Amino acid sequence: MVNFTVDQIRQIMDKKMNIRNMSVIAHVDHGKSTLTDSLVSKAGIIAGSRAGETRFTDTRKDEQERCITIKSTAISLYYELAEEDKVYIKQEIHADTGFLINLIDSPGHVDFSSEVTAALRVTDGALVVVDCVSGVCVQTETVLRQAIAERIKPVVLMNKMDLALLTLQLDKETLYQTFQRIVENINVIVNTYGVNDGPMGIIEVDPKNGTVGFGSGLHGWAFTLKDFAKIYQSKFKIPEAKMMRKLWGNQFYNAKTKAWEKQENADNVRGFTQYILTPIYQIFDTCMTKPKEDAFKLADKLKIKLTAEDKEFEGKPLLKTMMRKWLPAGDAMLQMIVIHLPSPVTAQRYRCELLYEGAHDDEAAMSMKNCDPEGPLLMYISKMVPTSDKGRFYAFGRVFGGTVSTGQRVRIMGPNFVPGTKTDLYEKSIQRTILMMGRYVEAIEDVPCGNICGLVGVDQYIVKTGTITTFKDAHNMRVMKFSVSPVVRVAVECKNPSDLPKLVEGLKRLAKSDPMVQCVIEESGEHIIAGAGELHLEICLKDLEEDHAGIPLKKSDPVVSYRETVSEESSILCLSKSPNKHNRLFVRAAPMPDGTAEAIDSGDITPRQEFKARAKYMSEKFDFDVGEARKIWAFGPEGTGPNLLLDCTKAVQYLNEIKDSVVGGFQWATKEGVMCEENMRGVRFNIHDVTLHSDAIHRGGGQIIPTARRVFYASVLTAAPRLLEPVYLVEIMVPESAQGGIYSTLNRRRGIVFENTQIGSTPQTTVKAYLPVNESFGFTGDLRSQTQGQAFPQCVFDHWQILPGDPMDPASKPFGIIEHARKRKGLKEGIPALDNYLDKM
Amino acid sequence: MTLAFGSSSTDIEQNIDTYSWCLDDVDLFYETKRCAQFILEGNYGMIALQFPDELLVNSVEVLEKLQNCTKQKLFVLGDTSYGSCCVDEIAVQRYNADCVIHFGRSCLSKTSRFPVLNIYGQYKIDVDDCYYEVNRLLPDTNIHIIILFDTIYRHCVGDLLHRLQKSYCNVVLSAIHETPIVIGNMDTSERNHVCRCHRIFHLIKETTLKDYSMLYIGRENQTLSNLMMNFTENSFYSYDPVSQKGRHEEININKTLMKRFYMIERVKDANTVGIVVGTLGVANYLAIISKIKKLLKSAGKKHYTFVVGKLNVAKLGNFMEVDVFVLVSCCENTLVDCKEFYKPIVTPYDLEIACNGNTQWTGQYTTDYTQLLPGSASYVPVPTDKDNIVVDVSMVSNKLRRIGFIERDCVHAGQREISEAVDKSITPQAISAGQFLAKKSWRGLEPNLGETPVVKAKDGLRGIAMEYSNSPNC
Repeated sequence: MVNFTVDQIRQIMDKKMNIRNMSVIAHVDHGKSTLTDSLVSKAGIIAGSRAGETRFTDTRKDEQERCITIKSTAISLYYELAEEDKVYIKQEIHADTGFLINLIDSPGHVDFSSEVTAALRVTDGALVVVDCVSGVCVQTETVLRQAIAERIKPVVLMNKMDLALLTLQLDKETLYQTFQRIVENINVIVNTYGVNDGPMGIIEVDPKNGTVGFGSGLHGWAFTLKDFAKIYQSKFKIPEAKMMRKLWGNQFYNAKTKAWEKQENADNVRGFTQYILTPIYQIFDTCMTKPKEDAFKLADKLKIKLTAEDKEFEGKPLLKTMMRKWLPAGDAMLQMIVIHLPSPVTAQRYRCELLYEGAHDDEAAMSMKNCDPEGPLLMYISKMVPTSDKGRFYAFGRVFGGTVSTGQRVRIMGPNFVPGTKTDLYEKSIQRTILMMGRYVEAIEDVPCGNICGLVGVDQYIVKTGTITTFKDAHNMRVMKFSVSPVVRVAVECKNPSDLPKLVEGLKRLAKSDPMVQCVIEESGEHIIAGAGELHLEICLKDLEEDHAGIPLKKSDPVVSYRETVSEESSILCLSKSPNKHNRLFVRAAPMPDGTAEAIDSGDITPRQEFKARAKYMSEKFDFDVGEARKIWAFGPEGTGPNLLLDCTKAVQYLNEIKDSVVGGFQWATKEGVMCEENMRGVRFNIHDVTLHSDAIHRGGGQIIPTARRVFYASVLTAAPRLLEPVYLVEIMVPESAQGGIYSTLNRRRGIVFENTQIGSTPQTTVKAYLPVNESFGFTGDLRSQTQGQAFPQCVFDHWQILPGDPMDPASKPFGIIEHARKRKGLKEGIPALDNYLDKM
Repeated sequence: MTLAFGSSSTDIEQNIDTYSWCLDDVDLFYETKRCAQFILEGNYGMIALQFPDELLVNSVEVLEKLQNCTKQKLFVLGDTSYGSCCVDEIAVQRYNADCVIHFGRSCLSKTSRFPVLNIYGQYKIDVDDCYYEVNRLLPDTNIHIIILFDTIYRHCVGDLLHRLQKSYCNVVLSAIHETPIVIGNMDTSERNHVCRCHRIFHLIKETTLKDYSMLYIGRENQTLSNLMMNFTENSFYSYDPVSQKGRHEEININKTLMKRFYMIERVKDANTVGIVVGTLGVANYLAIISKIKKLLKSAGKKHYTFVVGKLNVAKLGNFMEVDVFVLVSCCENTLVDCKEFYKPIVTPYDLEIACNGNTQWTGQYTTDYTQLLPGSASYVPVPTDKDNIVVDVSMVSNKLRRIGFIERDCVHAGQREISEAVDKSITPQAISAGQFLAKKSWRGLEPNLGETPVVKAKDGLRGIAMEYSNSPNC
């Protein structure tokens, strides 16, 4: 830290109106980390000249090597806004001090997008970086959508202008059109998922307002229209704010009439191209093609002061230096952030209702809404960061209300906490509070609300995320929803059985260090790691082997998790008798209407809803019979899954008595399906009739649970069972000439292209396709070799689809998959025969 | 459906493999002379003859022969309550017998109450064929071999050893550890001396157990799997005297241990543990039950004890509030394939690893619970430190769980506030059956006070569940 001490930072932390919490989000390779370096260089943590090369926020060795961000990293910056610029700020500020910016750099690769989700939760604003050459990509859309849903205000930076000018040689008008289109695209997304001028105020971005920046992270320069408006305000005698409006859109300057016109004609020129792009093009042209002296002259004209050292440079380095001195990226972006992104005071007022699950007027909610450092503590832990001390973690999160301090005694509430109970609740003291800045941590006495910090000593009591509070009746803060699912799995095994505890310990650490990875031991004894994609798993396995467990491992090939479902209604009414033959259950299985399983996944239909309202919704939307929909006994597996148990009986004696037992059997059966013990999905079980022994002792759990399981299995086997496989949505950026390779690769892998669009006037196209996850292993490499390395795919889980083929047919693909899965799990060969489960009258 | 205690059938109908069972010489097979000698030497007046189901056909013949020799009172015991490999002491006691003669395969578990004579039976085996099969399986004659066997083939292993020693130079024969167990006096001082699963053998000098391969004589059964579980470091070869085939046992022991580890996780997750008593005969079963109770208490888990006779799905399914069952039984019956059971069934060793923070997992496994008792070499005391509370994440449910002593007095019913005791984390109470019941949707008859008219008591149903004599339905 060069510019400030911890004490100074602590002082400014109290000036809550001068705090900006923001994340940098974008598609992969659009230049987030490089750009972040410019900001860090401005804040003085690393030397200015090394910006653009260092990737300060990529703290891990593999991140540096691969040039890809894996973990999100937080740093704090300090910026003093010029006095005259403070008029642009539309929220209250403390006039007497500078601004503290807590910035989180997040990964762009879709496999790590859970890190983005965690970063968004603790911030109020987002800097959306868009590569102006490739435009808005699938991941840009995904993260922006998440940001809007979390009520995060966006500002945009068009990056890689150097590429557009130097490599692609776009002409000025084309470049303007490109920018214009990107802005439009972003606003379409913003308006689709949010309400402009809603609770967050105006969230559309507009260069005229200064919410869009342009620049080159690599070269370290950037600007907003405000920067140029400032330069031109004296020339045109138009105030800065008004001048900005002239520099974008259909504003044309007629040099003859000295007037701004709305229509383009031969005499006038577009403000943006004439007054912004022309000088930039001129510098580029001069530095790259003209003698050095011309460049120095131009520098003088633009009042760029070059040192003797700078004058040694030639070509690109000279261009870089000049542009950086003329339009420093840090200044432009920090201004944009400080002026347009909300302070915690502003943001928490409208984010509270979204984030807090309890009553919106209880003490904790008020503390958050008012950003009151004196109120009860309310803090959300969004992720766990490994420390140098092996096996220990910093709990990283945002203080939303009150003040968190060293030694404070707090309640730690996990995602399963139920107010008024002790489930998932621990009370502990915080050992230390710390500031986390890139590679460094600094101890700090306490942290008031509105800030981001780390805690030491509570890691044991938090699985991945949690709410920390001092208010006794506080509810949880809403859990985060990830845009990706862990659908790819590998099994790991230690070479030496005595290392098992180390492996398990390592898996626990791995699970804690990543917001999304799932580590479980299955009944077969296999240790499974499930992640979003191949890259994600690769990183996880490497971490596990080298760091978390530190033992040699055997790894299986990646496998996909499947789901079991049915495709028709059961052909017969299935009967199973209890072991004592005194009780009979009659059940049919049927597929749920399309979309129902997804509605349950997304929480539109949940077991906690009021049953009449739910039945109404289900009958309107999914064509359920209202009477039946009112009698949903259970969701499964785990009580929340996408399968339903419905009571379709009429006047059965003692039925309510066996409900718990039947539900128990239902949870069991839906968790371990009949074909290969994968979860079931999208199956409704209708109980049509039940006959029970009149004596309670003969219809107990022991008789009913196994029977219920058997009858559910029988009903699935008679309902044309099928396997569901996960499917990726793949987005591939590729030059038109190399498209052939994509189609042939996708065809070989059962992929289906559903969209193919050209990006503006560039030769680049975007191909969108569905690709079964099972076929995606090695896809990236294959695709690159088929397109001479020109295609870059991004895969994100999209939906489940039926794997074609009858699992009962030994020649079919599902049969092979089931056999393989059964073998892996140590089960008897072959799908169990129906007569194991079906009884005769 | 695989059930504990050997029989592979449902409760009532049992299929016993008695076809093709004809003996040429009952005296030879059942060693009637030795039996008679045992009775006369001990001067026993009342003798129980315990037969497994498959040998029951000969019981009368054997009984008559012995009666003629000894003139004492003898009776036959069949249909044992637990495994037929163990002596059914309770049944013996009921008839006031002085001693037991146990016929057939035995798990060699020690008993404490009666003098026992084990007659394993002289099952047929072709030693020559066995020798050839071993030669085929193990072409390397320098290999170190330990011969283990199913007790029913004990009579022939001496012959086999002689044959093998001619071609193999490093063969060791295991013996059955017959002396009654005395706690605190396990002879493990000698380094080359190994005693596990009631098998005892001396290793050749300057070798360790790891250097040996195991040769097992007998059919694939619980004895084999039990031995494999206990000798995890060694590779196993087996010879089946019935099919006359030898083979390399390829069960991945690593996988099996990983499966046990899953069970250990389930125990750690459990709030309520059911202790199922699966033996009333094996020595020290009461000691292990009380140790298990102590362990569970120290780990903050509730426990209930069940005596249900032979296990089956329906019996254990009645206790929905129990999260995991631990089965206390003889070493061959303790590993249960609990796939079909609603809740998993684990061994005392699994429970020990899960709940005793002082025990380390070494990759070794033991099915013999006496190893967990004071006096055994691997005994580890139950932690008494009440502040030793571990909170970690379950690998099965991915939820937080807590293992450690629970201070019961600080939790009062109805008082929802956290006890503000200094330096104590909030202690989630172990969920007892009562709380479980409160969560159920149906908790018994609804009284509907004042809504139901008062009626006089009527006669109830009479008879058995199958058909009540006065049932209105039937």
